[in-house]
Amino acid sequence: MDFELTDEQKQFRQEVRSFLQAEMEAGTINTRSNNFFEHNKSFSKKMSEKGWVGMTWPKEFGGQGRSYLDRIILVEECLRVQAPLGAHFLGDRQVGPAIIHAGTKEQQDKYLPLILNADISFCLLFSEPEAGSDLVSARTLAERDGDDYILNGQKVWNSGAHLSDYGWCLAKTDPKAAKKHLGLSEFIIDMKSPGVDVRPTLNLLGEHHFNEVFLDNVRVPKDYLVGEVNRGFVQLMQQMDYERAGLERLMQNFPLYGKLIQFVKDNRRNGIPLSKDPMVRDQIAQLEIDFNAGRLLCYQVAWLLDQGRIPSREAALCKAYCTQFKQRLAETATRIMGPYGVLMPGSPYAPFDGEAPENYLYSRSYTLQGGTVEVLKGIVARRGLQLPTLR
Amino acid sequence: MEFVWNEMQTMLKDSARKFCENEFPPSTVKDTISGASAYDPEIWKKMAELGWLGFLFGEQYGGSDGTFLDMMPILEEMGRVMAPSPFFSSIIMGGLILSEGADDRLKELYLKKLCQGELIVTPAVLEEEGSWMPSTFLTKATKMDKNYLLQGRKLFVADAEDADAVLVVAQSGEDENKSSIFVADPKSPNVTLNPLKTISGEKMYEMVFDGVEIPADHLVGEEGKGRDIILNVWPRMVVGLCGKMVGGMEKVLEMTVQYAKERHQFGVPIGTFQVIQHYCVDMLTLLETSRILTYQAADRASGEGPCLKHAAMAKASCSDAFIRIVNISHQVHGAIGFTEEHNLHIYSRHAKAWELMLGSAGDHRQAVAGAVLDE
Repeated sequence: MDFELTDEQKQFRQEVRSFLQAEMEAGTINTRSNNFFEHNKSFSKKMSEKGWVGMTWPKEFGGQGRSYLDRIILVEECLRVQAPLGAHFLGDRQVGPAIIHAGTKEQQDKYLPLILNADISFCLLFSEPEAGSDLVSARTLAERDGDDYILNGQKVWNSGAHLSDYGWCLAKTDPKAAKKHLGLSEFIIDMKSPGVDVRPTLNLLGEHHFNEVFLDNVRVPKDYLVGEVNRGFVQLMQQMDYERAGLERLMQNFPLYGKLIQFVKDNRRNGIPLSKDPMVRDQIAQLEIDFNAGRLLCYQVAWLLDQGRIPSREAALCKAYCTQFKQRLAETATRIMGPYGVLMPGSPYAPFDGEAPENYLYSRSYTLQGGTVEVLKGIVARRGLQLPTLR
Repeated sequence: MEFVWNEMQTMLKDSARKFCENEFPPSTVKDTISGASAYDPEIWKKMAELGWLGFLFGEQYGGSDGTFLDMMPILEEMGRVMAPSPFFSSIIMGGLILSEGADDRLKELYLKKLCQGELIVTPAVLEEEGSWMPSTFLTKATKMDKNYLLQGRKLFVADAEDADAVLVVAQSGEDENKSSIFVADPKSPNVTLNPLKTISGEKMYEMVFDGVEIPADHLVGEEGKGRDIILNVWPRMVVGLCGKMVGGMEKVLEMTVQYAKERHQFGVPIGTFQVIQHYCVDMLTLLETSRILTYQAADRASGEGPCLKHAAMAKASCSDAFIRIVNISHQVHGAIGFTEEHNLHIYSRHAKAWELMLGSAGDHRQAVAGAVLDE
């Protein structure tokens, strides 16, 4: 049991901090909740030049072969200031490792350098109107036609699909499969292909982050199928263990925490500074404790990955816990701000231009995205506690 | 970073589990709760032979200079079985206070015997106010010619009846806010003991000192340094208790998951129900978050740097978590968990006792807030 980082790791953190500091001074970074998903290709290019895209990938695939602990240090520093990682994040975290794991030599040669150089960005095309938590019920059909597949169907909740070059799509290749999870495959789709129609779905704040994507006779070459035909869902579940418990699950709204602490130090109510009010202190302390616990759980998952272990139970538990923390942070921040907690961006007197109430609304999605808390608890119950299932 | 016990710590944990399960079966723990069983000096001797009593203390006193982190597996195992033992009061509280605060001569006198299992020493700190660090202690030590005269009333003194020495914190000297620690003889005719009846069966006493003479050389450390000594030892006492709580929580989770797999209702194991599954995962989450904060604090407490905030985070987490865990466990167990025969109440009793011992969650959150907001 040892909670200290090595000198090299501390030095690396310092290196990342200096880089980000310079970027902040140059005005590249807008430190506000949820901004880390912003697409900024030139920033992603700089990260790539540093070797910070694909840093955990094996060297033979063009990566740096560095540890998951190194990567979590990098991500932590980026999230602290919400550096814009959107243009390379999914390729780096998810698609690249999946191609390394399951892809053909040709696919690896083609896509990995493009991801590493931050030349291409990806979106995920998983959920459908009738397949949310029950992802295995996806209906989008991929039918073989000579050397191609023809894809037809509708995808929903596709973050950044309007900004991405490629989609990572789950589609049905064997509609007659006795077990639904053995009839799906993973495809790479060029988002500029004829028949791909991306339409915005505005979130409850009226913002355009996600989309619905209609696939109408989209022709995809057969070598865009990744891994084995009909093994797509199984592959996807394996990838999930790797992507599930990054610090982004904990720190998507981290700037709000710093701003809340600033707020209670700078403001008075009922004749005392808010920071001296025992009720306020109790709530801030609870956030501090929960944040620290979540942060350590994320580091533990990274460490387990470095040990070559698949942290399926740990990652699911960690993600469920961390996303609930993010939501509590937004709730606590608005509550402590009192009447100011309702002032939205653009309003006179809005502290931090309304970041707290804006984030309170946005935070509805935290406990849903990438597997709801309830789905995750089910995974922990069955895989972690070996509780029985009726199915 | 490393998130597993090393080889030595794993060996300690394994042997501690065997020892604790042998020596402290649930029947013994229940007898302690009902008052039918008392402290067993034989077990104390065995702990000395295992090296547990001297584990944290200097080699010159017969100890083994172990780190606090290395002690955690032992504490966890004692918490798993809710071992009724003066180990915590005598080693983690009394022993650490002596080892950190006393001069060599006092250590020679007391710490050596403690390591050998020939002594039980317990601190007497709390008074009616119920605080570990009140601004003024009402118990007074008045300097006479050669001796101090101790006058006052201490509450919540653990294991006082079995103790051979008591570390009494008392106000002394001119300054009302200054306190000192004295080694007193609990068998002195001017000491009166009144047992309190506690929810966990842990033995606590009111202890009245009515003009007890203390030789001047039985002052622990310097006069007026009582608060500093307690503050120095405080994070380790707190984290030590957290270690026991982690062990207890782990056991309750195991009992509950086991029951959910075995108990059938509506024709199926109740563990197939999502409600029960999510309850169990909530318990696991409470345990794992408390555990990781506790281990971090123990690691910190083994080093040189400050660790007050880390200890406070751990205890705030453990205090809340243990209560919620036993609450859920009772709900899953249903009526059977409400019986005397079932072991669950051993844990619900200790969860409450330890939630409140050495500071509640709210107390520790105030300490955390101090680190976040005042520094």
